[in-house]
Amino acid sequence: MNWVVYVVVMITIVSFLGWGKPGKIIGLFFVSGLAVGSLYALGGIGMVVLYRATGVLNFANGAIGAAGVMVAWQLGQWGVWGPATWAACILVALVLSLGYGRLIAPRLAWREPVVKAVATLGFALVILGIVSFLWIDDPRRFSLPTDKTGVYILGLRVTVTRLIAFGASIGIVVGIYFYLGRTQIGLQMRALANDRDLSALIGIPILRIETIAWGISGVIAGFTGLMFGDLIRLEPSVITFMVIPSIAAAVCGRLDNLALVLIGGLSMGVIESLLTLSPVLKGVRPIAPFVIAALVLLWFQRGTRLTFDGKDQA
Amino acid sequence: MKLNLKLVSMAAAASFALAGQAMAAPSCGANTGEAATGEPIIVGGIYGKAPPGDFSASTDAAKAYFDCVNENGGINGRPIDYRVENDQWNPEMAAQAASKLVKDAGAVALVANGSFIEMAVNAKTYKEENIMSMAAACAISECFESSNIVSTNQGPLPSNLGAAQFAQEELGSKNVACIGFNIPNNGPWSCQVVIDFMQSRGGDGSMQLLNPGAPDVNSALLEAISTGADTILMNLPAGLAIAVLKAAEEQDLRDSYVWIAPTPLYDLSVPAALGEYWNGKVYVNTELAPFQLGGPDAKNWIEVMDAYARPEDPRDTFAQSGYLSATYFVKTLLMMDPKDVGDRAKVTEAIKNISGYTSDLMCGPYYVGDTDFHMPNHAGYMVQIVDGGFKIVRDCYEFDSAYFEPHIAVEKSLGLR
Amino acid sequence: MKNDLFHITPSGRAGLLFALFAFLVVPSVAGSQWLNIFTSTAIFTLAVAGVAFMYARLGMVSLTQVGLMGVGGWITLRLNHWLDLPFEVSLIASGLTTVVFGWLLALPALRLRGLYLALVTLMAAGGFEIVFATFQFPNGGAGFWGVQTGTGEDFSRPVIAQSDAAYLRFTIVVATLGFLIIELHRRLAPGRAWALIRRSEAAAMSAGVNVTLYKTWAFGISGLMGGLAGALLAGSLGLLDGGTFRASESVMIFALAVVGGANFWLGAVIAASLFRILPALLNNWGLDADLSFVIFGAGLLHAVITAPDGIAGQVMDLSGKLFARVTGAAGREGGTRSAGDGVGSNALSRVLSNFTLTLLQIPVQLSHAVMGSKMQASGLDAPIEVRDVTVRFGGVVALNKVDATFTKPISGIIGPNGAGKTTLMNVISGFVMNTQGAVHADGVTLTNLMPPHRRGHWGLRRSFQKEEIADDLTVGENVLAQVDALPLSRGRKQQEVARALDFVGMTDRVGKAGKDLNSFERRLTDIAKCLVGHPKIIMFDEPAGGMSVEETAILGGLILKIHDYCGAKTLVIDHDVDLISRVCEETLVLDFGERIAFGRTADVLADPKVRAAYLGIEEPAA
Repeated sequence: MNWVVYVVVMITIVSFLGWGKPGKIIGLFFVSGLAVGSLYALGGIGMVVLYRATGVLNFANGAIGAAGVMVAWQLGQWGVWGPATWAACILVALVLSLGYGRLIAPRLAWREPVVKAVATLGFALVILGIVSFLWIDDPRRFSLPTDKTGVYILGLRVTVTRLIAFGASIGIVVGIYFYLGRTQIGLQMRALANDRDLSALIGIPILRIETIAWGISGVIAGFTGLMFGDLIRLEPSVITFMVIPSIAAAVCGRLDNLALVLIGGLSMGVIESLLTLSPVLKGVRPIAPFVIAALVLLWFQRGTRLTFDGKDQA
Repeated sequence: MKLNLKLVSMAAAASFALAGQAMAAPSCGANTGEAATGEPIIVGGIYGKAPPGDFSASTDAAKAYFDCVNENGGINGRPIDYRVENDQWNPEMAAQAASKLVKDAGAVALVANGSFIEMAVNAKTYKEENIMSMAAACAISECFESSNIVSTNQGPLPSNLGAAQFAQEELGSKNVACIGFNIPNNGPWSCQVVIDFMQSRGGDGSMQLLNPGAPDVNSALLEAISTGADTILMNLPAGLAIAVLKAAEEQDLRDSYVWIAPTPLYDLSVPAALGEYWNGKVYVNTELAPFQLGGPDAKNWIEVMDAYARPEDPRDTFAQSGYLSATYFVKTLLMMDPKDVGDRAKVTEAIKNISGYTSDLMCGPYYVGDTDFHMPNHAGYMVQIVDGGFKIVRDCYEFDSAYFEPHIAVEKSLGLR
Repeated sequence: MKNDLFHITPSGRAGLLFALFAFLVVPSVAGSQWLNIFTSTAIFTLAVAGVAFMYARLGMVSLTQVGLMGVGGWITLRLNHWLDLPFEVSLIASGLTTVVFGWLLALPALRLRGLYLALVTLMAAGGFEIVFATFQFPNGGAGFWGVQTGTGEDFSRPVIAQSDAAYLRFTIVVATLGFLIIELHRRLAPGRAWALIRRSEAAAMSAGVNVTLYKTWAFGISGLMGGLAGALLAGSLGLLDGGTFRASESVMIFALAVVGGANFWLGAVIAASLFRILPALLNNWGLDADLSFVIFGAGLLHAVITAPDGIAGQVMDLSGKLFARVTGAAGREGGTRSAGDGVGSNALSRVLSNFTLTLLQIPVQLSHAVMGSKMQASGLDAPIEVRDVTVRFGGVVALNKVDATFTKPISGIIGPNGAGKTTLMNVISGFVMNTQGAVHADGVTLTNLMPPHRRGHWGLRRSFQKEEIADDLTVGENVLAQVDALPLSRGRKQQEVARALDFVGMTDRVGKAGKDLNSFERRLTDIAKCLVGHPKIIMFDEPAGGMSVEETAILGGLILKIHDYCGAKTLVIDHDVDLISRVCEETLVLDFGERIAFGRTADVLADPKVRAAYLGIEEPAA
């Protein structure tokens, strides 16, 4: 039912915005939108993976990625071999994420989810401050070798890096799906996501599981940072605050369903890009992710009533 | 290279093209060689520095020059007490900074201000307090269209125009797409002049606007292409302009269009950041003299920076501009009656009377005048990004637009034409 | 309770003295820069107060506050440049507009809570950020957006507050008024309703609270604070910039509200000081702006970890202890307020009190207008008819054509766990929709009736398995909240409350805070809540759960007297068969959603089917 609605709505929006435009132009903006959308999705997926396992929505995800990619860039400037710099990026992100997950997050375990989430903003500011202090404002560019080659899709040249970002977002969704379904730790993570108190009672090693989740999310954040640094721009504050549209993608999956995060992120990118074709709305096109996320959440909640106490409803 | 050197001890200046010469004593103010010890003259400066940008180069350079002046006799023996404040891109802090400097400290003038927001917030305060701001790093319309602010730099409007004019005259451009910020007093303001210019020369133009924080520059680029433009003008800060060029590289659009940009892309880090692909393909307008010209003032600027600035302070266009504002200010004070230099009203009057100052850093003469608009600098150079550096492709030329008619009228009345 | 309205708590007195100090002393001694800094701080104190109040009173998180400030500022600038209205008029217009925006934001809150609600508000903040960045703020230009390039037109500050010092005073007055508005709400019907909603929305609804209305109202107040703050900011600077109203700033404001301490006025002041004074100080000390980010972020983390009630909570604790040591008295604030010992007994106070009460009746009146139904006479003589009630949850049949006519004053419902007892009660009180059948009483079809709170107005009362007493209200206020929405005179309401508390024997604890009660006292208070405001049907869901034998005996005695007390019919669910056989004349037995027996209690309990299905597998209460 929801799928039918989704398809109908998307077709309506695309044909409304693209009405009277040549198909080639629509194709260009559509593919371009998918490219941006896969970045939203990638950011959103990283947040949801962590949120499901630990109950922390990490506003610092972007800042962690920014720190990683700046380190990678610096090593590249010093002539370090490319793959080593990428590994360094992911390592930095991993260390930052684990550091917060082990040292700070446990002290906030008793707080409600919103406070846990806003506390991570403090961490984001710390990282952003240090990164901006170390690397003064200057034009920089971060490139991966995969930027050089590309394929034409609907008239738009798409670099291999973009294909990697796109493929990775799908790959992570599939990978996490199998990880949760097929492994012992995955099973325990699902139990944790389902009911933390009960999981603790039945002897699931919460600390260990959470550490693994922080680690996985750190690696994803580092990878996302590499992609953002390459495909958006190498400015720490821009990468840091990419979390806000990424959250919009995460909200589309109700912080739970990774496949929906992916589809939501891609749809946001496409609609935002196609808004360029509308003379009235093109000025405010970055608003698209927020409007879409809010509408999706309300759509899923239609008919629900809040009566009994319980967990957060969505 | 641009790692903050407070932590990593590495001389950024060493890499600078002009730093190779033997160290000569810089020339500052009265050049007495004796430190000034009299009652300080308070001068303010406001810069913006916080993520996402840093405009402090202008006040850093001005501070270096004032330090040099203070060691060389100051203003008739009185040192300049230069106090700088950071507005952190926050309008409230900009207002606080102005209050602190203008009202609390009683500064006689503001020199080398560099900010995106400060001028809009404080223009009225400066007028009410009758104080002049000899700014150095302006980016918005308020800065050029108010009574008590005069900036040494050009801002986006003239620089855009210069780039478009060059493209039209020498590269055969007929239709310019101006990609700018979706901020009324920045993007639309400075792109519209380009469109008007192109139409006045029988061509056409359009503007594509994007939000400062938007991750997606691709759609603005695609939009620009779909207008049928033959020239793309990147009216953006360097970081975003690089992102646009990178998106264009992705599409392999280099050879189908002419790529031009205003001054922000004139930064020594840019050619390396752009890479081999763009070699010889990007033309940038510079609002002050390109670094390699090395006229007397340009040399002195580097010497002052080397002797008095911190090694990590940037040597860029904003630093030139801040230095230039500071030298004009000192020159003005030195010509005043020594007993008046601490009197704000007299200083303001003297600044408004500035006319016909010249420097090899700037194409035209510098003047102020008692008007509601100031844009003394509306001529520039054109450079091309070649082999990891910049090659001058057009010497000083004046920008041709109806926008400058009132300015030219003032210049005529001051006898500068 | 009326006299209580103008009671000044020690914390309130400190707050008013602080405001007075800020008003009289600060503007005359601060330099020009600090006047600006303090004005910003006062403005953000007001904005934080709006966020903190929603979080502390309703547990709702709004991450749109600076977005709403932007809206308020936009309206003020627009009105100033367009119609040249006096600042005060624009200020009020901005406040009213943002109230409406707040109401719009409340729509998701009816369906969402917790983090999800916060995220929807964050999405709104993201939207506002884009709109402000794109269109900027009016500065005297033409057209709807009113933006021109070049220097903006002049902005007119209030006539009485042209100078920076006077404007700071003006801001302090507005901010103080904002706090007083919030505090007045807290002390009256909306405050009691919010406390119940925060405790449990179900309990609030069954107490007759129109949850939708009061949540919306709270968002409106929060929006009002944001709008006023935005308008004041516009007046302070004469223009606004989109950079001030980024979504991340809204998140920051909320984080600081938590750090400052959302429960206290001081918390808002601390939050605003951290937001505006600390960066100014760091800047003054010449610290690198990037490093101030680090200090700021680290301080935020530290405070969230170490101060559960915020910094203000720590300060209040400390000063409370000091106060106690100095006076030798218990300085606990707010805990012992009681109905009788208020200070507002003089005439002026009474006039003010009446005026304010009339104003604050607006939500109640609105609620009446929505409710439409009139109060009817007390008690219920007619039977409660349960007709073929069926409930399905997906494929599971929770109740299958249950049919019973309760005619006796007190009836019992028993059955093993999962038999559908509570589901039946939920159908009657409106929390669960029956797929088939109906419940009638007194000529009214309850199941058609209305949302739960309107059933409450009609005369339905219930308790829950857990006692639903709001921790931050006194016993008296908890009971009073039940009748707030009823069209009775204030005197009558208080009379009812006093009588009900007397009935359950809690009169001596009327001023005790909910959090200080033991579980038996909480249960007694719960029963008192069911007795006020002309109940027709009272339902108790496992009232004796967790009680000692003596307590159960007292409880039984109370239940037996209810019909004589108010004429209502009572339904009791319990596993304690002794209690049921003592108090209930007739009993319905359910098993797997089916009625297996109904009739005189003694007969039913003797029924072999019942003995097999129920008594044989009896377990302690879940």
